[in-house]
Amino acid sequence: MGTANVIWVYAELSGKEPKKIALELMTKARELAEAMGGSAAAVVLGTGARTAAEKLAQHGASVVYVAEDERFGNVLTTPHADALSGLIKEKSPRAVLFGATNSSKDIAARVSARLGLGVIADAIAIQVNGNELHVVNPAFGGSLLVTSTFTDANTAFIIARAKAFAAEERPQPLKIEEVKPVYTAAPQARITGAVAQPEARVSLEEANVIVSGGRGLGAPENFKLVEELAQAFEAAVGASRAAVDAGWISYPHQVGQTGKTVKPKVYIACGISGAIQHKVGMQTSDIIIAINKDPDAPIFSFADLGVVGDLHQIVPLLAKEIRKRKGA
Amino acid sequence: MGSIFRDTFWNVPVWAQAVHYLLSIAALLILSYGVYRRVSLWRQGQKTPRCPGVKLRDIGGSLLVKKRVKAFLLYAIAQLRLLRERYPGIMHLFIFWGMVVLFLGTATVTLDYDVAHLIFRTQFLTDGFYLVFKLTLDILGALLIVGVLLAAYRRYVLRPSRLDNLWQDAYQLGMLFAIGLMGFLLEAMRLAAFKQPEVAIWSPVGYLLAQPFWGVTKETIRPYYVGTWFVHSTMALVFIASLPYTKLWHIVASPTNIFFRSLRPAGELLPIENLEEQETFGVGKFEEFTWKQRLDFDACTRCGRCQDACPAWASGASLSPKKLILELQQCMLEKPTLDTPDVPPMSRSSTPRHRGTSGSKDLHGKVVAADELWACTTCRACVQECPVFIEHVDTIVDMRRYLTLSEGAVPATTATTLKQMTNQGNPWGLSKNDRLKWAEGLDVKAIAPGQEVEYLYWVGCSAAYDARNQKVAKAMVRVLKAAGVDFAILGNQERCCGDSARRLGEEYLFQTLAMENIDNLKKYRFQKIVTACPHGYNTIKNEYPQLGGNYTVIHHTELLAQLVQEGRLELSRPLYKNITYHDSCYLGRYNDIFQAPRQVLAALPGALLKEMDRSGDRGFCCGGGGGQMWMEAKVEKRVNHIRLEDALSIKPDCVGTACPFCLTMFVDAAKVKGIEDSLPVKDVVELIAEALV
Amino acid sequence: MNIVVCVKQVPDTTAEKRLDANLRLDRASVDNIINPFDEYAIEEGLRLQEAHGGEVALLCMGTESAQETLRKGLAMGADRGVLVTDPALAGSDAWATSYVLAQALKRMSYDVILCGMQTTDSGTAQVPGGVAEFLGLPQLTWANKVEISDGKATIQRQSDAGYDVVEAPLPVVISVIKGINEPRYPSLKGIMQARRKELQIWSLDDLGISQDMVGVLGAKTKVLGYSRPAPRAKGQLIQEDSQTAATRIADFLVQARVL
Repeated sequence: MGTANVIWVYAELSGKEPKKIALELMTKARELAEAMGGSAAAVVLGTGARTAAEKLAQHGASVVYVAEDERFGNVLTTPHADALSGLIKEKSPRAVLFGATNSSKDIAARVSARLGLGVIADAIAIQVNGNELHVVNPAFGGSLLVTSTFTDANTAFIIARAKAFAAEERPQPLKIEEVKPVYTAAPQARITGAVAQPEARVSLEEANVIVSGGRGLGAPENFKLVEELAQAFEAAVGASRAAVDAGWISYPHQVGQTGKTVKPKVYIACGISGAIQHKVGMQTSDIIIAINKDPDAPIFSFADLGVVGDLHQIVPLLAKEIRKRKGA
Repeated sequence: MGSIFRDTFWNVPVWAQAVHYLLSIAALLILSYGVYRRVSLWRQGQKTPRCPGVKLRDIGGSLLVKKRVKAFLLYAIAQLRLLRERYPGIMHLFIFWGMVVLFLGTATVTLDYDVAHLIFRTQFLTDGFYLVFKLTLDILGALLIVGVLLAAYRRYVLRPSRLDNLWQDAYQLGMLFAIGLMGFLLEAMRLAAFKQPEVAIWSPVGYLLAQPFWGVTKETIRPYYVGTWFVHSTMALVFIASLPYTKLWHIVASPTNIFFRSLRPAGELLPIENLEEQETFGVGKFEEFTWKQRLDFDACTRCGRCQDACPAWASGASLSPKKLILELQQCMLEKPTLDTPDVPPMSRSSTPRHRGTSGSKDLHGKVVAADELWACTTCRACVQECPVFIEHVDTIVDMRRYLTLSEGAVPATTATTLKQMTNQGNPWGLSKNDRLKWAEGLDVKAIAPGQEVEYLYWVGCSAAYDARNQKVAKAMVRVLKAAGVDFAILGNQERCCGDSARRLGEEYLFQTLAMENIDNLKKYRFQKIVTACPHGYNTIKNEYPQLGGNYTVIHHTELLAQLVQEGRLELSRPLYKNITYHDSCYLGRYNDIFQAPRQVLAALPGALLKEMDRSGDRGFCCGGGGGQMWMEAKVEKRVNHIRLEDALSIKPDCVGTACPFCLTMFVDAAKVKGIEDSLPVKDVVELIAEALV
Repeated sequence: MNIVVCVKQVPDTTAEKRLDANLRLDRASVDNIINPFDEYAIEEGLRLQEAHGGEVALLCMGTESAQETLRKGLAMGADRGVLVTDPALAGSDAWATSYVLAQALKRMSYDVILCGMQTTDSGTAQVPGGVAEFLGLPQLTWANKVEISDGKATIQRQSDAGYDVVEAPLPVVISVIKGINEPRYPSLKGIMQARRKELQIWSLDDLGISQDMVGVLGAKTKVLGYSRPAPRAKGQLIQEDSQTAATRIADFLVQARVL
């Protein structure tokens, strides 16, 4: 196994399109494969796989393995694992790249257990070193960067963070190969319904991005600036104790010692001074951005980017800017 | 009738006298049974020594007993606590002394007639002595009537919100009024019958009342007199018999409670000994209260002073110390069954919260809701105001101990705080290795083994980790250096003092933290500990001795006052004109430090100290004590906002504080109000540092 | 209904971490705590027990010191603990961990196996799925709500648009996310009782696992080296006109690869 220098991407679908992270990984897979003198391929499972194949080819897939079966949409993990493990056994790719989504992590877990494969998760960089793949991931809450590699020649599983790599077009001729998976008869977890997020709001604990407002907003009606910015990010809305105390927003939004402890990728604090009560609830966020009129606000001492200025102007402009860039 | 004497049974027929004696015996029997029942209610409580080590035979020489007698004289007899509020104080004093003197008077009459006259055929209530006796009783009887009228006016016309009216109150006042008035009527009738103005003048009130029927003959008065006498004496007996069954019981229970009041330092909670060998913790069932706590509940007179002083109640929380004690009193008097919902007379909505399986539902969640217990800031204002020395805070902490140690049922955000104290030794869970970071670049000496310093500066968690309070620590260093004080700090070995944990009922965590601190302190030599945090001050000074840590502890305001007095600080920069000082509960009420911070503030150049309405031992809590720093109270108006308004009402240029929690609570409230830029709130030492040359 | 909760001992995230010469965590230099995500799993297990009865057992793979971690979980209310410990386990990767846990689980009785969604140290989130695979069970992962009835488990599972409702027959492996519940505070009474609760210790021999399958010998990945990331650039502070400021923030986010 793993003899051919072919790098795969397990591409998840979003409707009939590959997810953005799949394209990022595809580009990276192509780059790695070229460095190893091989090629890149993608595996897409589910309704819409054929349509999605085109984009993957554009981003560097020489072959796209597809299987369109309803069960990929209504059974959790196991059919995907069956399909992928069958394919790996047959083709022995050098590595499979997964995006760090809940579903991909689950599939990687089952397949690696089944086939006895090594997994390195949370990758932020992958390099080819001779015939080895060197993977860098942060560990222990980001306080260390660990470089690891695989000890055997079996197919290597790498689960990579979103936006670790840039998606670029590396067009290849579209070549689709239909897969006929053999499904195991084990008991299944079936998806029976969906619950929409209430008010289309992301919960603080699970959010990747949080936009928080504090007393510096000046007036309750200004809280909608924060909400608009959160919408632009598809972020959750947080608040300082002072804002909750003043009755501008309800307690479930409170971040801090006596509220929620959050750890998003990005935390944007608008008009929050950063008193310890708030700080301990959000200080482990990956990136902290603070907007405040007071250059001496304690929050600037632990923010990655501090902006001294009038948040009433900056926040709406930022929301516009984000919408513009997300649209692009 | 040549001489003047007490004709006790003038005009009263023998049969009536006989009935009277029979009724007296019945009344005494009913009284004794009631007293026995109520006292045995106390005696069912758990043991707690109130005069530890005092043997009955040397009771007279015991210092403890002397202290108790002194307290009894001051607070039960002279009623100094009651007089903290003028109207109800004077009112009660009238009634109390009126009652006492009339009772003594009646006793004297009994002695004069039943003993002296019937047995020894002589009487001592005669002539001059009798006249003075009459005058005294007459005046105090009048005071009793005035007191009762004042009480009725207050209770039924003024209707202060802290009073609830039960039939017992009307009964009590009605009886006192009726018995007193009829006593005067009897006197008036006697005076009118005998028509001796030179004697009558010594009973001015009776004489006045006798005027309308001065002209009526003895014979006409006779039947009315007999009737009135009979009603009067019977009512007096009913009064006596009903004593242990009505609110009148406070006449016995309250002074008893005052006698057995706690003489420990106010800030010392009793430890749970041999914690790891206990089966139950704190008070989970009513039976687990001590006899003194039961006496507390029994002694409550529903006066509501505690409720008026309570910050939790003022904020709209479900806790009223009065209601709490009454709920427990009710629980003691009529053990509630599991199915009767307990509707306290004046409850605000409070949701009983109970998790767990043990059979404790008859108290927690049934009689007392967890919300009530967690709303307490342990500010001690209730204990301070209570005229009968009920110890609310200890009782609340005992019940919290059960919730925390037996059930793990702490308020949600508090659980995080307690876990962080466990893991990192500070409430925020910041790394214990970062405790010294605030001092970077300040050249502060960390204490080393072998060297001795005069002062060990106990920094405390807030000043070590919280950006705002770090400024206080920095100011402290600056001032101590400026005054040439020899000091060092403990550095990364310092841990949370455990005050919040203990008051949240987490005795185990408190003892663990305290032991760790005591073990670390053992390694070093210092003369005194100085701290800017009243919570650390109180706990280290009053509670660490329980675990073998004995230190001389002083608060930084005391040290500053001393340095100012010794002229070791050159204060020359004028800062603010009108400064007000907010008393920290743990510094003031708990440890009687009121003057030191004021002396320091008064020494600031150009400063004028203005007092808030509620200050000194009446100071209103900031809302941060008793673990409230780590909770989100569901209230109408937060305590710190109320306190900020207290300050704003006297328009100060600056608010001085002497406690990191008070500082935080004030700054938070100012922030919410949007006045954090216009109203500086500063620790006393920050002001001193700024005023230094 | 019998519940097994898988727990792990991890270094306290607030403490500074160091790796030893063998590039493994120098466990002596830090305080160890129970993996915070596992506390949610234990709480969920206890709540399921309150509703359905049965036993809650804890299963942990780790060093001897992990007994402390198990005692913490027992203090919350779990009934008994099993620690799989063996010098040969040092350096085990996700595959080996899943395998060992699965072998231990085969010797236990379970209807529901609960896991935290991931650990705070390695954070691969591979163990719940791995355990399910080794035991041939369905997996219900990333749950923010769990219900058991009629021999099946139903969860709400985090999805892009909200939550999917997913169900599977028992026995099943469930992983729960942070915030699914409020883990209870271990009472002192619980801590005291935990000291007397049964805690079994199993070695690899007890489980019939050969040493070369696990630990460093069996690891399918190896650490080559580690470095400290450049300390978070001491926050840049900018003061610009509003439009420039907004652009700078957006640029910063692009640079940080979040846009």
